[in-house]
Formats: sequence, structure tokens, C-alpha cells
Amino acid sequence: MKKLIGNKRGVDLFTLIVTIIGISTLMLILIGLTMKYNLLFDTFKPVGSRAAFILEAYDDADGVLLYLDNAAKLSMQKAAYDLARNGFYSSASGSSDCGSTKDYVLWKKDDVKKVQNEQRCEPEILSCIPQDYYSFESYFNNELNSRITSYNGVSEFKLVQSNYELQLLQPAVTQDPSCSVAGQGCETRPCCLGKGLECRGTPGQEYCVATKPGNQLQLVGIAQQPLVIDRENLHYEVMPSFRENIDVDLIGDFGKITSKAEALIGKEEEELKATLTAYNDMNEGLRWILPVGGYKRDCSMGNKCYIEECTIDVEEEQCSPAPTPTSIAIPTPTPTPTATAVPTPAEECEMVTVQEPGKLVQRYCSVTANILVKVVDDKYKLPGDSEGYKKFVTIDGSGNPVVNEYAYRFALSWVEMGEIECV
Amino acid sequence: MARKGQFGLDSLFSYIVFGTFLLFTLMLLSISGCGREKVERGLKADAGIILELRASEQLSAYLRTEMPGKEGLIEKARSLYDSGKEDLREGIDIDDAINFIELHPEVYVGKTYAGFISSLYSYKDGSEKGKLQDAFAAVTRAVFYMKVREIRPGLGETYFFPVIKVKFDGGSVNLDSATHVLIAGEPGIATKILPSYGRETMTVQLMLGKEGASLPTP
Repeated sequence: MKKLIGNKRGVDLFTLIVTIIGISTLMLILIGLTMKYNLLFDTFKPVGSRAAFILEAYDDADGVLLYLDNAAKLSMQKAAYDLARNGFYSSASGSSDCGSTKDYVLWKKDDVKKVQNEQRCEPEILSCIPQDYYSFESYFNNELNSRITSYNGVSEFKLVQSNYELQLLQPAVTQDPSCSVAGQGCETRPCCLGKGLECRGTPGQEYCVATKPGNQLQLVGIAQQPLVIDRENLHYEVMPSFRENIDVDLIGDFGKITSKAEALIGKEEEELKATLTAYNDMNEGLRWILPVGGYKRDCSMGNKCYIEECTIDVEEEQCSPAPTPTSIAIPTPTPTPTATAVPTPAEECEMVTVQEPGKLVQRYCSVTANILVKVVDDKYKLPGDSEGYKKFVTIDGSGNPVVNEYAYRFALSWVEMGEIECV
Repeated sequence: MARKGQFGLDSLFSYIVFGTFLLFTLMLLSISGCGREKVERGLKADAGIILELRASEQLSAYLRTEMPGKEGLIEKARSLYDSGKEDLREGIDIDDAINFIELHPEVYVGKTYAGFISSLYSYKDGSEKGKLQDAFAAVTRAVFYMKVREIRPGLGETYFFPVIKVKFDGGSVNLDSATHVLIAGEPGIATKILPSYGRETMTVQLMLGKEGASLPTP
């Protein structure tokens, strides 16, 4: 080494060796770095793309929630319509113990039964006035599940069926932009007096308070399982819960209708109509209607209640042949064809009373009244109409739109007892 | 050692070493991205994604908008049509549109814009399907129209309304809020799925341009 360094030529050789080693080392480093950075380049994405990627996931979830909100709202409207149509029962027939007429679920149906140890019959009253409106939830679940199925068929994100714990509420006040809402001041804008708000507080510190429930239906659906968005390097979960309002006072209407229905039982047609008119005059936003042909009184011969066996006096004509004189029988000559016929003596008839077995029955008439309660809402008033009613559009079997009036339907059936007779 | 004025071997090696290090420096600079297409792309923001996200948020906002009542809707639709602005009149039979709005309050009363679109589904195959396009375009323009001043120099006051398309699944009728679209450049397109009254789904699409007319205004 000394020779190399000390020698003038050795210095040249040293430089040469260092240069070669240096270049080789740098070449190796270069190759390594190039390979490493080439891998890195392939993963290069535009600036902010990772942030945008996350925002995209939020936006996708928002799209699913938008669908869910709308599906929940539509399902609520359809469920409320079906529930009203079926008189707060879960189906048109079979769910009420009283059964149903053609289109109306019966809320009362009398049967007639013999009174034990007495010679008379009396109505056996079966009352089926609904006690709650919770069938709404089964209608809603059916509707929402079918819409979730439709969505899952076209979307890459899947909503879970039957995923909700439901709470049916009646929000305290309605949000009407023309008047103040609860908790806000009422100095500049009035409170919604007609909608259950009153102005309270001292001058300058006035506020609106809710004094009665509003006229909307609110449904809160608390999701049990999350909506999952899974992508490369991204897992995002959000609970797809919802809170939706519809413009239907289902809970309020339930109370108003069920409390008044009983008073309609046993009334003659005209009296019933007068009662409905009185209900309409209460201005509760409901229009009580007895449809044309909706009052039927059946007093046919078949409406009989069997009590027991009886005997019935029947006037009968009894005839007996005239008595023949007691005489020696003289052989009568065989009449010749030319001989004239001898007339037989006439029968003697008389009316006698005989007792025949019969059935002791009590006749009765069966009365059925179909009641329709429409919801008044002038926002739905058509040109030429004096009053508007809430409407709901559906599609019939052939795909044509059917605009239905939102109406509560139920029927009442009772009996009027008649005479007892042995027949 | 080279004599003075001579080009010696040590000088040659010095130049080689200098040149080699210069080369490596340049190569390393190259590795770190200077002048490379991939890295150039990496330094740019992707405006397309941002525009699509904005369109999506905008569409959600439109779909969640509460619909006005009958009187307000008819008055607005009529006044826009009567204003004489071709942007607002184009492709609409206003009488058919107003007739449909008058006779079918059930499609918009108490509903959001999404609920309105969902309700229209019921009429897609009915006898009034001919009026559907007019009603949809007139209502969309009436609810979301916006007066924009001097969007392009010389054009003066103009009106903007969103370009929204509705496609019913399984149906032959599609609805458009605009008969022709004047969006400069590549638009941001957002699509949302909505439920219908018939339980099928439908898709709603918003096309949003980069130009000033589509920018949200306070």
C-alpha cells in the first residue's frame, strides 16, 4: 500500500481502484433505488385522491340512506293507507274476530243466543273495536322489506331486511314556516294556535309551547345492524336508522274514531245519518260518511233464534164418510154396461183443532252499517270541489294509476229482537 | 503527476469521478420524480372526482327539498313560462303541465322532490303519461330555477335550472328537466336510486357543469 501511495504511479492506481469500487457501489444503489421507486410510482394517485376516496364512501352511504329515507316514507304512507282501509286491523279479513263484510272490517257483530232457563233469546254482543294501532308496524315492515329487496337487486350496497326496532310517535308540533315553533319566540310570528302551540312567557321573552300533540305521524326506526361499505383499504360502517314524518294524524284519528264508533250502534238509518252530521260539525278534520247502500236491515224469515219445542194448534178439516145403515147385505147384481151408476153418499167434513209439534223461535232483524271516515285536507282539493280529502295513489293490477281517498273504514253489525212465536 | 499543461491520468480519473457523481445525482433526481409523467399526475388534483362528489351532494339536496303547495307551484310554473325566457319555456307544453299539477295534488302535496318523482312512477303507463314529461320539466324548473346574471359575456341575464333525468326501471318513459343540455366540458354526473310507489326502483341523474351557472349561490 505504501508503495502504491508513495509511488507516483501507485497514486494513479489507487484512484483507479477507488473509482471502480465507487462506481460499482453506486450502480448497485441505483439499481436498488430504481426498483424500489418503480414500485412506489405504480401506487401514485392524484393528490387528494385518498381523501376523495373516503368522501366517496361517505357519499355512497348517503345515497343508500337517501333511498332508505324515501322508502321508509313511502312505506309509512302505504302502511297508514292500508291500516285505515282495514279499520286498524292487520288485514281486510280474518284479523278481526267479528269478520268482515265485503270491503269493511266489522268492529261489532251480534250473534243471537237463547237465554238459559228462559223462554227468550238475546243478542250475544261481540265487540271488536280495535284497542291499538300497532298493526301499522306489520304493514310497514312488509312494505319496507319489499322495497329493500328491490334496492338490493340493483345496488352494490346491501340493506338488511327486518333490521329495525320501530317506535311510532306523534310529534308535539308540526313545522309550519308561517308561524313560530315550540321553544322559539312568538313576538314577531304567531304560534300555531290551531296546531297545538301557545304563546307563553313575559313580554320580550315570549316563546311557543306545545299544548297538544301535532297532527303528524312520526316513525323512528333504530337499525340493529350496520350498513357496510367495503373497499380496498377501506371499511366503513354506518347504522342506517331513520326518523320520518308523514302528514297523517293516525294516532289522533284512532282516538277520535274508536271513541265515537260505539255511539252509532243500534240507530235507525236517519238517526245514524244525523249523528254522523253532528260528528262532522265538530270540525275535527274528519268527514264521517254513510256510503250509499251502506245501511242494510235484514229481517228475512231466516232470522230466527230457536228456543225450544212447542206445540202449535192447527185448524184442520177432518172429513169422514157418511154412516151406512145396518142392513142385510143383498148381493147387488153386476151392473150391466147400460146400467146407471148409483151415487155414493157424501163425506161429512168439519174443522177441528189439532196439536202439532212446533219450534218456539224469536225473530230478529240484522242491521249492518258501513262507515267511511275521510280525512279533510284542502291541499288535495280539485277544481270544482267544495272540500278536499287526503289522497293516496296506488297502481292497479294492469299498471294503471289509481288515486284513492285516504279513509278509515269499518262496519258495525247489530240485531233488533222481535216477537217470540211457535212455528 | 502530469507535467504543467499536460492532461494527466489523475485528472482523467477526477473528471470520471465528477461525471459519475453528476450522473448519479441526475439519476437520483429522476427517481424522485422530476419530469416523470406518473409523478406529474400525482401532483395534480383529480377535479373529476370532486365534481362528481359535488354533483352527488347537490342532487341529494335537490331530492330532499320540500315541494311547494299547489298554488305556489302553478303560479311559479306559469310565471316562468310567461317570462318569455326561452331557457325556461323550451320543450314544455305549459297547459298540459298545469293541468296535470291541478288534477294530481297527490304527487307533490306534503312531499319532497324525491317523493314527487316517486309518485310520478304511478302514472308512467297510464292515460296521462303524455303529460308526465311536461309536468316533470315544469315542476323541476319552477322549484329549482335560479336567475344568473351574465353567465357568459354578452348573453345578459339568463336562467339556470338543474339538468335532471329520471329513468323508471322496467318502463319506457324517461323524464328530462331539459330538452338539450348546454354544459361546457366534461360534466359531473351523479346518480341516485329512489323507491317508487310500485315497489320497483328508479334512477335519478344530475349533470353538473363546471361553469358558473351551476355553482351554488348563497
